[in-house]
Amino acid sequence: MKRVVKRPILLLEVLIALALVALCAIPLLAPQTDMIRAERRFLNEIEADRLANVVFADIVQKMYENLIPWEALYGEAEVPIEGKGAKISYQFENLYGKPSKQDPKYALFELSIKIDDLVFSYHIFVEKEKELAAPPKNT
Amino acid sequence: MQHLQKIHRRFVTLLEVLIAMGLITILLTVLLGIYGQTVRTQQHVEQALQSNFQLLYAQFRLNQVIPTIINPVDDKDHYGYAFYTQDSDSLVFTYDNGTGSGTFFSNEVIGRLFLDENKRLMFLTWPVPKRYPDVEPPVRTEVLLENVDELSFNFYRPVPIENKRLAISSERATGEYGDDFDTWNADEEDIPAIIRIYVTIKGRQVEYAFLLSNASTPVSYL
Repeated sequence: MKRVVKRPILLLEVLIALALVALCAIPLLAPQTDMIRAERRFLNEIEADRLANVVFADIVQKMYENLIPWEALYGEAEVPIEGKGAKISYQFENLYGKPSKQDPKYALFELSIKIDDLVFSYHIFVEKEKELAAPPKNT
Repeated sequence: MQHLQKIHRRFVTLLEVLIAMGLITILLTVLLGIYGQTVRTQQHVEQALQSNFQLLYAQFRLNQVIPTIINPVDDKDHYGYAFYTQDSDSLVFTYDNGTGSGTFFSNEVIGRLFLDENKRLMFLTWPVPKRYPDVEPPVRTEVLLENVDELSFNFYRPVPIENKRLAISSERATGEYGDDFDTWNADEEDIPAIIRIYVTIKGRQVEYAFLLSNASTPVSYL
């Protein structure tokens, strides 16, 4: 007489099997999440593009009003901008090289606006008076 | 009964079935939860994309048009150039449409940006008066944005360098070299250097800013 004793399935085995099933589900969800991530990135880029134009206009207005010093245009330092809801900074680069002792009458600058990890570049033409006019007398 | 075998089979107990079903339920709940979350996020992103696409399209279209606005001062041949606001939420201007389709819509055309009664940001284009002198010219209509609650403009006019020189004092005066306006009269002798357009959609204000390359005053430093 032969007695067949069947080994029962352990709970651990069941858990491993379920984990494997769960692992199989990951590749099914991965493309979905990648797609969402890509869409989010695209959305951020759209918003950054609009924001860059707004920041560019603000900087040009400051330049019109000489609120950004002439020397700072040659400084090539990265200047942060606060209060726009994103990490923004800008940087000027003189496209005609370093200034000589005498200021040029015209200059062309490249303005790079960095929003998070995106960079937007603009060219700005600037007129420069060679000498400061004397202040009006008795004023 | 030589080889009488007694096969003792162990049956699956109800408890085991219940445990297995419980585990499957937990797993399915987690997986469906993640899937549901993904679908909800995607719906949210798609909704945001749809509204942002509208904003992007508006920005793209305005970026094609506004920087090419023609200064009415340059209207030497009396084409009928214009740049002015009507009722503070409508802007009329002449712009260079380049090689448009058809003679009437090529080169200089008149554009009007305004908010209609259906809360849509509309952009109309028609030929300059000299090219189409009839009372009712052909008009092209574009809807740039929908569900717009409010539209307003801001125009920045810098002081020309000659006047800048007069404004300077012994210490360099800054911040006094330009003015902001909400409206623009047709009889002004120049166009602004910067136009900012504000649209409010569902309580959110969106700002667009454009530089006008045909403004008479370049950026200048003293």
